[in-house]
Amino acid sequence: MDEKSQDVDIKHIAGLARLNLNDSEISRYETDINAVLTHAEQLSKVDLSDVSPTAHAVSITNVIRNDDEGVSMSRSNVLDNAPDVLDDELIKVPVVISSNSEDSA
Amino acid sequence: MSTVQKFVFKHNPGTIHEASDALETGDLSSVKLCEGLIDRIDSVDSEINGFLSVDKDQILEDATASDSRRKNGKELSPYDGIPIAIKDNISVKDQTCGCASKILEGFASPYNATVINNLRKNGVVCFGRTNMDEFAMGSTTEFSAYRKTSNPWDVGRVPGGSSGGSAAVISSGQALAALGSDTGGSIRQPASFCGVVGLKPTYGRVSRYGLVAFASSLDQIGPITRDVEDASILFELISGHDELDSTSLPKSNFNYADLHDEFDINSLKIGIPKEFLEVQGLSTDVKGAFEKSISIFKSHGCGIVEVTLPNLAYAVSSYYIIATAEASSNLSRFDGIRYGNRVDKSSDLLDIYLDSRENGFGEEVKRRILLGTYVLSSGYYDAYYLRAQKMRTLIRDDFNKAFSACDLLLSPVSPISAYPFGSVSDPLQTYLSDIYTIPVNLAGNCAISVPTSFDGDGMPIGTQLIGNFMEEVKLLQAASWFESVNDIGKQT
Repeated sequence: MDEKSQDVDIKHIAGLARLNLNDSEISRYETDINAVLTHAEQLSKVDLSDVSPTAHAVSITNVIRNDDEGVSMSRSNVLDNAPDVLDDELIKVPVVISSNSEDSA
Repeated sequence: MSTVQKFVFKHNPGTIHEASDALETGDLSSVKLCEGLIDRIDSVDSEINGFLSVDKDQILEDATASDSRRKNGKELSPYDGIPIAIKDNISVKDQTCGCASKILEGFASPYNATVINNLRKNGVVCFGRTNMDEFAMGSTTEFSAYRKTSNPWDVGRVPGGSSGGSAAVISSGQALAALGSDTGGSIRQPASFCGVVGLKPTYGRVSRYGLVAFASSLDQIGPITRDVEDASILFELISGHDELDSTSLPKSNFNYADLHDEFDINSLKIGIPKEFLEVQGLSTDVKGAFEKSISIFKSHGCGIVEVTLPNLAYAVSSYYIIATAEASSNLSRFDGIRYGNRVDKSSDLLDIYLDSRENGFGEEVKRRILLGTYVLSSGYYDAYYLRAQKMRTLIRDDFNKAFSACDLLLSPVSPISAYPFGSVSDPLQTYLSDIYTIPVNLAGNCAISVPTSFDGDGMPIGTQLIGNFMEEVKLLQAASWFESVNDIGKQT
């Protein structure tokens, strides 16, 4: 773990997290995150091989409801918070599949 | 030193139970009560900055409706017309819910959180949105994208966080009580810093439906109030099973009346985890307050036993791995597409994600998203996330063992009391100061912060009582007893 925490590639991680960062942010976060990970190396000194992980404080089982029709939020209610709307009925986003790929399809 | 704290409640009742009594007898109306508090906001909140918004018209409309219900003998509960301030990450239909983040600027909730429905069923008036660290990530409220909230006991100091706005508006007499949320201490620590009461309920007793998720396995909504009685009242109103939250416990409803069950301080056993006095950075003043509380319990005949939480030293590491991992996943939904702020400088979809998130998230949120993404990323999952989850098992087991030897644990809330703005800037140091509150969230237990004394600078210090799973009755009885026998002293 020692080596791993020293080579945090913030640029790569920021790409995975869909965050744009400037150079000063990259260097600051590199320092901060390395410090936290170095502290967390203490966890590797404990023998945890026979311990099972806890995902939740409460042991919960899946909750399944009856497959009944319910009341959903109205379309206009949802669209009220959308940044860009088309014809009062769709959320507008940029073209995902370009016209070139449409041609080839 | 500010004088804000000193003239609180000259005209208003200070607590829910006092106001409820006055409404019952007709000495007070909800409109008069809300107007008094709004006047108070107008005169002091420019100095405190505890509220992000207060919709005065809506508040007075709801208060008027409550008064006419009472007039017709149709009040919904003894708390009909009581105003409660709401942290900015809890959804109230048609009101803004921004988590003090720019990425949710202008977002209006399309529905009520279950806790809000529960309050409304009882006639409670939603009274303003309180400031917080962005997405509840922080311990000072300095990470709000909008404003810094000041500690009413000294406006040059932080109120704690992340529910710093909720704690500060109560402490400065601008609200009777508030809802906060606690993922790693965000209710208890600001309550301690501001000299008020903060309860983190057992995980699963209060529905998280409508609470904007930070770390789902740790988040819990709870009350911040002026006294333990109010915390109990508010907890009764918001607790209970909810089918809209899959982690909601069955039979989770808390009954205030259960507090009247027999309580005998002589048969109570309080455990002191020996590791708590050895925490690095524990200030002399906080240590003094902690020792004072131990001696109060002891001198009244309560049994004091030493217990151990041997894995305490690993709690902060595992918490910040688990909480950031969950946060990185939860906050991936903020992409500028369906709601929230969109930055579309380019016509490329990926650029919209990148630019909207760059622009919308603040410093600490980005830091935690990055850390969480890293510990979940390919090749590191086993080394960090899985190990942290295994450590969580050991920490929970430690609590179970401790509670087999005692009824409640006693502890400081934070190793330090409220400090001046900007004096703690290193993220790791800030994280480490969550040492006393974090283990409770990892284990899922309940805990409460109760005002205890003042430090040398006149800042309040709280004591934390920790209860076993679902044992809020015992927790609140002991907290209420402690509150009644403890002389908090005067601000020096």
